[in-house]
Amino acid sequence: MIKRALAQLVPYVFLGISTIITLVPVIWMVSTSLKSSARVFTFPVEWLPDGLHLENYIEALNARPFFLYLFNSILASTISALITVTLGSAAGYGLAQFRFPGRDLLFTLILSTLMIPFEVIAVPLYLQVYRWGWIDSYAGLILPTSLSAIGIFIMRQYLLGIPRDLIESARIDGANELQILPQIIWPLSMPAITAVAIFTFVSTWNSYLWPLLVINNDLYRTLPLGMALYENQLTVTYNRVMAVAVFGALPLILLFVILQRNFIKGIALTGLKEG
Amino acid sequence: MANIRSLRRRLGSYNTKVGLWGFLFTLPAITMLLIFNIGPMISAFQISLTNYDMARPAEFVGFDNYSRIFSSPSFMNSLRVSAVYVFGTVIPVWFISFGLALALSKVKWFVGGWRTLLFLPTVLPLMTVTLVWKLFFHFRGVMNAVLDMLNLAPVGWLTQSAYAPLALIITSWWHAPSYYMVLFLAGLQAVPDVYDEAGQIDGANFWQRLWYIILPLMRPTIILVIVLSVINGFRTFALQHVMTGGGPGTSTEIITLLIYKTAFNFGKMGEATAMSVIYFLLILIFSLIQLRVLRRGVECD
Repeated sequence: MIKRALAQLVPYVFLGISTIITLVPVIWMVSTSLKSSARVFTFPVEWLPDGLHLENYIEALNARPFFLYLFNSILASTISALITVTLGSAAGYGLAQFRFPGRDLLFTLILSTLMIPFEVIAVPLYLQVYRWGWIDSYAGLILPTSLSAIGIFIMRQYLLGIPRDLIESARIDGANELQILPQIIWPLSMPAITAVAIFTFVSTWNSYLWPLLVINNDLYRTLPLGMALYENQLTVTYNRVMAVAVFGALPLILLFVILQRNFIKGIALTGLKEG
Repeated sequence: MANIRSLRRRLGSYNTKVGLWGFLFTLPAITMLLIFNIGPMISAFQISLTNYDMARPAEFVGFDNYSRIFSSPSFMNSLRVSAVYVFGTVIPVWFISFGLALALSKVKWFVGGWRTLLFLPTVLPLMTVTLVWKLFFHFRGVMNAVLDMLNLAPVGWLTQSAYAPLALIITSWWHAPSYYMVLFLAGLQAVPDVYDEAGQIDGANFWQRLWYIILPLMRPTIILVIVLSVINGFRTFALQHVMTGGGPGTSTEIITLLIYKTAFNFGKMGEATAMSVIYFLLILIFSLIQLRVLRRGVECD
């Protein structure tokens, strides 16, 4: 009996220890962002800040145009999410609910792009964008990486499950194909759309290699670039670096708090079929 | 009979008309992929056969780049560094993330809370994680404070080539499990309880049920996590670029970083794309397995 009770405790102990390990760097980051620069590195570690040095945030965020970086990140992530959802749902609808010659070939083509890691095409893509004169522009920053093939795939799988009769009856009621997509398909596929939007938004938010290649002008830099650049300065103090780290994390944490369940689903769907 | 034939003809013509719409709906996405994915993939193969350096027009050099790569110590080094990083990271991560998912499926108290807290590393932006851990491994940072507490001498985590690869791996032990935990949890929840209960009635203990009942049923998820984690491991770039820049020396110069340096520090586009092609082939086998699992997972329903 006691043995059984102890066995019940094991998962709690494991989760408890794991949670502490998970939280330690996060707590240290927030605490350090509030410390005075003299207290950043101490042996032993000080877990609580020596007061609330909020000036770290003000000084760090004024040292570089971080609000502009924030705007650029939000812009890039939002547009990418919109493009993937719009083109992805259209293509998913076309592939799932229509029959036309070459359909399976197109679907195979989409699947095959899933197997190309972005790092493989980064150099040729850069050369192409360079020839077009898209370096240091929003078009160059956003468009080349905006559509994720996995988004199309997920939309198609989801839309396979929508009964054909429903679409047929809308056609009989006189709706044309361009009306059916926004009026019938989108409302019916909200779970998949949300998941794809979140997934695309977050992966664009985290993207680093592509912005690093195409952006040299501060006007178009995204947050990850700006954060790395700020940390790389010789004169920087680390409490301010942590202030910037917290600043960069806030938008995603906010998104997570608002969308919790959908957020976890959206992140997890790269691997699994969803919905 | 005549009726059926005319009906079929009508349906046939109806279908081609509607079918054209299906093609039109697919067209924009296909166009984007052709321009931004498939086109560059094809030109990667082309450029890899030239000596293109962005300054002079490209000249065809056959497989020179490939033979140069395979006799170059820095490329061989990057393959080794990548392999050490990937397998040093993923093998512990499989066990940690599966353990977390299993524990999450067993608890009844604070279920959502545990999941939310443990998911945090995936919610945080990659750059935030990178900066925090870079400071953790600073010479006067938290990791050396821990060593100091244990009466051990401090270590140059990011400045000694013996420790820098380990520092990156430890960072990923913290960062990666939460993501695969969610995948494993979904897989665990898809295993019907009746099988586990049947095992219980037959007197199998927990480990026996795990080994003979649960793990075999989770095969697709397990394969998926293994494959995804290896692919993601080989794709790492920002972590190394920001934390060590590939150094000290070339001790953390993973393959993506070497491609980046070859192309953008030395302007050798031909050589860099040849490396990209090899890198692509290296990952291809894992991607093909991933695709099979994805498609089969779908066809099961």
